Amino acid sequence: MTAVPVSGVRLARISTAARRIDPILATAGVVCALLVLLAIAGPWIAPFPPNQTDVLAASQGPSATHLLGTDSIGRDILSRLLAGARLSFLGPGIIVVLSTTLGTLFGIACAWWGGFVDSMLTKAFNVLFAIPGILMALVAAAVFGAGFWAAVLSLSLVYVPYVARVIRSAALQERRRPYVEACQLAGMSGLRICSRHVFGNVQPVVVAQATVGFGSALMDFGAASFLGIGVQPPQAEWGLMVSDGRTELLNGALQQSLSAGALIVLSVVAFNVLGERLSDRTGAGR
Amino acid sequence: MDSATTSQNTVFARAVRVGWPIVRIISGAGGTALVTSFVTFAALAFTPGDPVSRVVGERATDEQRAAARHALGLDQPIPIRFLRWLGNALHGDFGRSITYRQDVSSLIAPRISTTLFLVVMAAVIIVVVGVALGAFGGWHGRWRPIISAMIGVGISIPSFVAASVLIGTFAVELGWFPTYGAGQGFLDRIHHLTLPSIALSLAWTAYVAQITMASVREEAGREHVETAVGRGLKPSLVFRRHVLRNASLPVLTASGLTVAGLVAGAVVVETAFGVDGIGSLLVKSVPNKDYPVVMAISMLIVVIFVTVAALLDLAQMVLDPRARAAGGRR
Amino acid sequence: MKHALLEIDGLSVDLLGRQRGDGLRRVIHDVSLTVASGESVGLVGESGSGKSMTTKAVMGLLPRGARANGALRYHGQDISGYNRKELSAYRAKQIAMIYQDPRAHTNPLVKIGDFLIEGVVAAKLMSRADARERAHDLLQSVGITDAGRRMVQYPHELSGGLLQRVMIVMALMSSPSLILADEPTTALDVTVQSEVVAILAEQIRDRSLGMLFITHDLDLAAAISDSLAVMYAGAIVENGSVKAIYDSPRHPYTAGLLASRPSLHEVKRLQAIPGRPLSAFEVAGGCAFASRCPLASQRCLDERPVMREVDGREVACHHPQNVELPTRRPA
Repeated sequence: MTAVPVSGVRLARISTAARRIDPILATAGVVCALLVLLAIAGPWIAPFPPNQTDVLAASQGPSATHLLGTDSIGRDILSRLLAGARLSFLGPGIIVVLSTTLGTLFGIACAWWGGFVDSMLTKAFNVLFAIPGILMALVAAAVFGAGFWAAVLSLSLVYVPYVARVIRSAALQERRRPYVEACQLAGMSGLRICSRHVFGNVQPVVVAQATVGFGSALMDFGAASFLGIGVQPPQAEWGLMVSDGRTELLNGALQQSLSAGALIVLSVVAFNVLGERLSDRTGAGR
Repeated sequence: MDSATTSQNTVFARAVRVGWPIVRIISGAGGTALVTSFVTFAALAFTPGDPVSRVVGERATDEQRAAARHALGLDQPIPIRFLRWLGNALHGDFGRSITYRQDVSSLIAPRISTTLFLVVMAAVIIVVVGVALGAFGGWHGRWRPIISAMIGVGISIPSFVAASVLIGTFAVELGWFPTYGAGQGFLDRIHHLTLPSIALSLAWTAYVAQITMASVREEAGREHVETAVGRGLKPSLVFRRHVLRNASLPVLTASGLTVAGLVAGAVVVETAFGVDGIGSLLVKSVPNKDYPVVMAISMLIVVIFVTVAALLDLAQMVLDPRARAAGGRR
Repeated sequence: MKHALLEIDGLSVDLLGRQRGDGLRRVIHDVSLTVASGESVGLVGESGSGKSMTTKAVMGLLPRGARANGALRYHGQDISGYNRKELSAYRAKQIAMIYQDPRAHTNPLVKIGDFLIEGVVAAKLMSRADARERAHDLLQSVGITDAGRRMVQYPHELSGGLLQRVMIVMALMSSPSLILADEPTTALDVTVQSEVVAILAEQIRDRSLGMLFITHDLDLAAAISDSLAVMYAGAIVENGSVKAIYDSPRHPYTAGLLASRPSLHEVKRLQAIPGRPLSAFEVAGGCAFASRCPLASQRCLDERPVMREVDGREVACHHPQNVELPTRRPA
């Protein structure tokens, strides 16, 4: 039987055990949870079908029937916001899942193997860093045609190096800890050390990074839809609604652009604050 | 006992110590730009759909197709095509736009000055407001929570949302600014591009302020600042000479990279405000599948980014004596 | 009776707790100390004894939120009443501090020459040119022969020992009357330590400066000081001339410190003081040292001893006469 050194395992747990309820973290967490709930349940609680048009009631301001008013072809804005939450969150969600998974894998790989693998991957990441997210989405749209998946996959690719860089640095710190060498001497395979110990201790960093990444992805995905290279009309999506609302904006009707924009900002703030507070915790735990 | 021995200080040794990192930085930047442009070119080349059909029509014979393919240079392998394109690009020839039927360079030339005007205005706002706000918040602890909150919100406002709000309030409701276009003449340009530059700079200003605040705060807590205070130096002098100067390195890096990425951000803002720059041209070219334009503008954006990043690395070497000694890497 | 330069009179310092909502923590308890003009006082204590915080109090550099009671008098003037301008003048002209880690306490982006002249030029004590000349001369007097070359170098180009000599020069630039040296040799190699201490001692002697020398090394303090003050858990436990204390300590803690030094002459077991050194806020009631003292009685646990004159020095102990004297003379 190999004796696994306990000192290295789950160092991060000690810090969460000494938890103090941080009111801002709790508030942000609650808001995020509510927003995610909205994204899931949105279409079911919407008062009107999101695509139901009523040209006679076009571009109206807030009223008793249409709480947030209507858009240029008479669709209820509130319903579209509630329905649109789905795509607005699904896109960034997939982006974060994909980029975090790949980024973590690459980051740990760089930290574990070092040397040639590390320098090659770092060079590859430098190339990706030089390409801004929007540009990648535009090129993807030019190549594959505009749409949900073109935007999501291209943005996922762009985010990988950012995640990888953060994870790599955290994993390097873990790798240098004496318990890793002890595990190796005890005969543990590299894969096992990485998956069980290194990843376990790097996990809080991954979660914090993913949360902040979600906020960024919300903004970039919304921007892609705004430009017309992401979600396509007549689907409901917040970035798209900001764009749709532009003609009405010029006529003084702010409701569509403003309400969609406000929701985007609220979501990004909530996830950013959550992510920041989480990463403060992981920093303090070290 | 001393770190500097005579052999390390000959003119030749010093020249190599300084020169090598410069070479490394420049070649690194060039390499990245090259690889990135090749990847973009290859991606566009693999696009589904046959550009040949658009040239010769659906009912062309095989020979006509082959001839057209050869004329367009499409029968060559991709690396060769890329090198041809690169060679032409270095001479200023970016091919012809499919949509506009004119040289891409003549499409870009008038628009690039508009975009640069916008980017420079935004950069000024970002650096001036961002650094000032961050430095203030970092040094005067009392203001930090308020400024932190402002930063938290500002950093979460994407440029297209900021654009809509700004248009709605200042252009439409108040009528202080025009709602679209770039204007003619210097002052008119500034008037037209005020709202766009604010929209473009908002989130980035918050980001730079955040970095500045963290950097100033960290530097203010360092022991050498205690030394300065302990010698009886005035707080303003301590701040200027010992805190700000030392804190400026990470701030410089952050603001530099921000500026480098502004051209890409201009894409969204130009579209939102109907400004005719290379950003909006790029966006229009995508659904039109106008590949020469897309390739040229993408390249421009990447090259600008890589150049600014390289200049930043060089600047860091100049400003930080420790980086100079360590050969550009701290 | 020598003129008192620095008078610390019943100083107590409380710091803010680490987490929000924690109360104040006492780190210095009722400390009284004088440094006369031209006198060198060694303040000896282990980590957490409060000795560094004492120097910070003298400089007026206590951390934010710290509460200080008692009087700190310099040339008879209470410095806690100073406004910003007076404090600035006091720091610029009257006192100077030499810190423990010279590398951390120098600005890496500032050349040595600029660093040295900064203080006196800002306080308008001399012109830039005069300051440079003075810096050059002082560097040479501390044994840095290529002073001109060193003045245009950056801190990272100098070794720790050289940098600490530069710090000594910095302290001397404004011709202060009192030098505070906070463990100036702790961060240096042993071989370099004695050189730096010798230089410091020479400068103090030549200029008749007062010095408060902080260290955990009793031998070092005895070598450089005229009188010793031993600190434990934020309070002074013994205070007197070096000869009196070093040869015949009257406080069990001082005796324990002396006895715990490894011997250079005989092979014998190390005698450590059992337990660990406490900080002031960890002391419940009674004598702070009682939990580790071989002489502790019930009175020691109940009643905190006050400083009183015993055998030619001041001691805060209920049983000073029973202290075992060291069996050998130190090397």
